[in-house]
Amino acid sequence: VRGALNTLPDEQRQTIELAYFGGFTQNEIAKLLEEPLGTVKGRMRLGLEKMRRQLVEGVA
Amino acid sequence: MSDHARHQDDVGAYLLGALNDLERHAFERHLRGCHECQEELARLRPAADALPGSVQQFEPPARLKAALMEVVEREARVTELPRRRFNRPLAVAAVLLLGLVVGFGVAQLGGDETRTVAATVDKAMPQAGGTLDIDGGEATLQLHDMPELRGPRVYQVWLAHGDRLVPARTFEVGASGTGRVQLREVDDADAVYVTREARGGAQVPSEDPIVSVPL
Repeated sequence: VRGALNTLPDEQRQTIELAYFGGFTQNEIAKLLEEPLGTVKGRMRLGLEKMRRQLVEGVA
Repeated sequence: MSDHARHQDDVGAYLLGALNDLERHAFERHLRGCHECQEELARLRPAADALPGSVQQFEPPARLKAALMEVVEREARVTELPRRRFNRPLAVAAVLLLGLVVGFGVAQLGGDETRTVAATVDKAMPQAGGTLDIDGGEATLQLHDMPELRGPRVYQVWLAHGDRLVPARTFEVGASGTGRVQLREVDDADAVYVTREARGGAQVPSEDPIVSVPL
């Protein structure tokens, strides 16, 4: 899983780390990174989607 | 905008715990009646569920443990003494502990070259927070909800090398309360601190750090 997280583009990985490990809300992350809220939401969803694909491929 | 259009992008943030209470309740209300979002949630959940295990595999390095214990012991000593100007309650040590653990987890997950460490802030600034993004020897400190300083005062960054504090750049936050500072030569530092100093900066800090980032 660590490998999967590390293969994400930096901005997706950083956003997921801030949310999950840093405990920041999406609004706080948007403010921190000076990005629109929609961008932050998208990075979390796309990052999880990419990790899911890698998990599935790892099992197959 | 339909209810679904408003909520479909929240699935990732919901799984990562990044919605505030209001947003979470609204999303859960929508979820109960939305088959599409239920499916999306079930599809992505395995990825989010796999995250916690990725941190627990690691034992914190001895240097981090030592730094943590030093903080805890210093706080314990302070509580035994009569109240001084810069006394900080033991609770700060607990927050620092959390910061170290979180910082460590993030650091490990980020690989060697780039990593992000959460900042620990003084409890006098409950809304404030931030991160240090490290890329090799350079780093960017980003802080939010910092109080705007009155009079000829600025925030100053310090790099800790053991007991030695090396003065780094000063910065100001406007009415927005956000500050962003680029730092160099952080690869040898043990921690990054922020204090409030007179304009122009100081050679020796005049107060205990109000922001700490353990490295």
